[in-house]
Amino acid sequence: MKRSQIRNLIALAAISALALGAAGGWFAATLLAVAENPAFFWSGSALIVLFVVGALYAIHRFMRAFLLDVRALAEAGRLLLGPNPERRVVPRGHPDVADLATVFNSLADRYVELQGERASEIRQARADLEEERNQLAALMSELTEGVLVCNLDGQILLYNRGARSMLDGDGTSYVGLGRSVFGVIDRSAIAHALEQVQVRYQRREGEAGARPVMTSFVTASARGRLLRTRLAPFANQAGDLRGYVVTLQDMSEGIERSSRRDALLQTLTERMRAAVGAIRAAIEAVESFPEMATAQRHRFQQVIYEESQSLSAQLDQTMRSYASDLRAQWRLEDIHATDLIWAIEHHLADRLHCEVVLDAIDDRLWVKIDSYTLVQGITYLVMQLQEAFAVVRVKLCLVAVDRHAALDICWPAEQGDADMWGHWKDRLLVTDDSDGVVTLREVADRHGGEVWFQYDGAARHAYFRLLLPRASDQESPRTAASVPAPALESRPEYYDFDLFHQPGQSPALDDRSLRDLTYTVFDTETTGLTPGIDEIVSIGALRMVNGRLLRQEVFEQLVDPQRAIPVTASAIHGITDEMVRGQPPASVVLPHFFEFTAGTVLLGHNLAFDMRMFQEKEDETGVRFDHAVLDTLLLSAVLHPEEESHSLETIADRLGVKALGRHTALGDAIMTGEVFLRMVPMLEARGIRTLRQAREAAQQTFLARLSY
Amino acid sequence: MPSKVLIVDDEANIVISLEFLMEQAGYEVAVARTGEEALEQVESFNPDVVLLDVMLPGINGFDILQHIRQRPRSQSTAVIMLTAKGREVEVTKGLALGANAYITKPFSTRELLAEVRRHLGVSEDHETLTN
Repeated sequence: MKRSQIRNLIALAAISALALGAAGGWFAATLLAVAENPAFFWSGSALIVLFVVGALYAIHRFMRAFLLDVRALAEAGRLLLGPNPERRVVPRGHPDVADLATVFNSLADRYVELQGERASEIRQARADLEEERNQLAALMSELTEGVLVCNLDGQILLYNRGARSMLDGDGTSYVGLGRSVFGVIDRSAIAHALEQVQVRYQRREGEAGARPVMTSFVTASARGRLLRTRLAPFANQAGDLRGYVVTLQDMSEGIERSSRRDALLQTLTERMRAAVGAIRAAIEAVESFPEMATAQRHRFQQVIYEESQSLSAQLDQTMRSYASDLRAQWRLEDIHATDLIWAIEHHLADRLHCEVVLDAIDDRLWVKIDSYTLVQGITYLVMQLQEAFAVVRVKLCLVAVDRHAALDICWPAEQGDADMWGHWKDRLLVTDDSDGVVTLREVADRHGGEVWFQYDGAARHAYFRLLLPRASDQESPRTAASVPAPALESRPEYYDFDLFHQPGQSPALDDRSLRDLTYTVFDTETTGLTPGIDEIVSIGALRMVNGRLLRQEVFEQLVDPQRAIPVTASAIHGITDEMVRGQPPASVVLPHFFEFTAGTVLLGHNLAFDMRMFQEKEDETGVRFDHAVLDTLLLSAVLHPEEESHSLETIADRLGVKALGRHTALGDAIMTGEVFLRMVPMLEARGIRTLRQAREAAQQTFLARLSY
Repeated sequence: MPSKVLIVDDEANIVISLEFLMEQAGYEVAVARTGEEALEQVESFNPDVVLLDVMLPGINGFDILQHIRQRPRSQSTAVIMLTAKGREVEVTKGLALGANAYITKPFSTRELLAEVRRHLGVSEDHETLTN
């Protein structure tokens, strides 16, 4: 019921009361005129007053019961829907109204209960989603392949560590959320691939059970690595293409390896052809002219001898080159002592029918080895023992010796023959799991271990001892070897699917919401406060996309100021002459930083100073930082014009941002970013929503009129 | 007047046999061990047949072949590539540059001699290696 209606009712009641009073007066006057009895007059008047008061009270009760109590009920309802869902009404007044209030309270209880349930469901769903995202992020970061997910504009929505390590150029191109994939992969290659998959995707539509569309190409990264790139599109439920997944594989190493092998094979073939050619020609000459002079015959024999020697040397050389090439791929893995012994034992029994006796085996021991090759090496050794000494039984020991594990292969022997070792250690007979051929010596070397022969005269047995590395974590090597659990605090911010809804970079920045913009938050440390004289010693920056500070996408670089850093400055930021020695100068760093900031709004605290420092370098670097900018100092003055201090510490304190790593460029940049994120809703409450509005508001503050 | 054979190879051990066999076959033989020597010998010795290796110190066999083919006086000179480079692309290259034959090492000395004779247009009657 509206206030005006209530007022009308009160007026109506007052008029009714006056009318009643007038009627009562008229009635009394009539009685007086007839009886002229004073006693009757007083009692009549009292009656009238009583009547009027009674009427007024009745009206009051009526209004309270049906108007005011109902109004309070409505007010409570409004509060309940808005800021205070705990608000309840005291049931009073007319029983009907009180009953209504009770029902109202029950409804309110139910409402609060439902709201609580819904909130907890949302929380649960969020937590589930978050967990899934964390798992995805952890999974992605473990992949050796690079993965990028892009929308059709080429904006990167997700990437993993692999992609970044393959594609990040040396300060010339960056992988980052919201950045363009064309900055790191050739635009025409992507465009061509995309065209192909789009055509195939459209052709495929409607076909049942069609294979996923995918295309691949080879591209070179900024650092000259060859990358095999696969591109697969993905669509929303309606079947419209929304973006594509790019997977990257570094082929360079494989190509290098196979071309090394090709070269090796070719050289071997050519040298063998030459040597065999010489041998064959010599033999045929001798055969064709059996009556040739002895001296001539001797020359041919010499040729045959020399060339066959050269052939053997060539073969050995090739084997060695091949083996050293293989060594690069050897994999050392943790294995439990008993598992290793079991493998050796079974291999010896199956292959050589050799009896194996187990002696001291430390079953708490873990070793880090290439088990296949080791087993092969030991099998070869025992095979030689069988041939040389008719050994039918060997004894195995595996115990810890300091930081190593000692594996002994013992056999009974009447005397030691140290020369034997000389024969065996370098023979090329062990085949490893890549069909490579290596020596026993190399088996030990590849484990970073040692191998030697020893004779124990007292026990009358000889043994080979292999020293092998122990697994690093003796307590729980299995855990050490397993995939590390994702650390939630340091979860990489490698994805942002909200970028799907990002309107690209096309609309003018000015009219875009402060929340949608991509920022580079940065800070510099300098040798002092006088632009033109002082120099930058450090730049720290990170990107902020969709209201998230991306701590993985940072730029942090010391800069050689090419002048001495005053002690007073070092005292503030801790950067000394020593630290900047050998670092690149501003003329190198600023163009890289410029690349890093491409397409973003620059955000800083008191950034006029930093911009002025950049400006001083314009002629030298050839880059002009002409980005849109926002300054948290000025925005703070917009929000709190009455406050005197707008230093970063003060604002951070005011807004409840914790100070971390202050007075490092990156630390200050992070803090500035956090301060800004808290300012955005406060600015919005003042109607400042777009970049243009924020800039205009900042310009109007007094502080903006002071500049460098 | 015997036909002249120039052997171009830097591997002494193959040169010994080639020189011996060619001499026994009744040819006048000259030997060059580097690319530069080979070019000089082509000028001064003016061979009828060149047994040409590819891998040589200095100028390689393919370049020497091209030089011979561009030289008016050597139009009738037969060039037999005799080399350890046996990949198909190399054979194709040698023949395309104008080699009369491309023989990869190791080779049969009998077939080599037959090839030399074939290019000199000498009849089977002169064969000295028949057993």
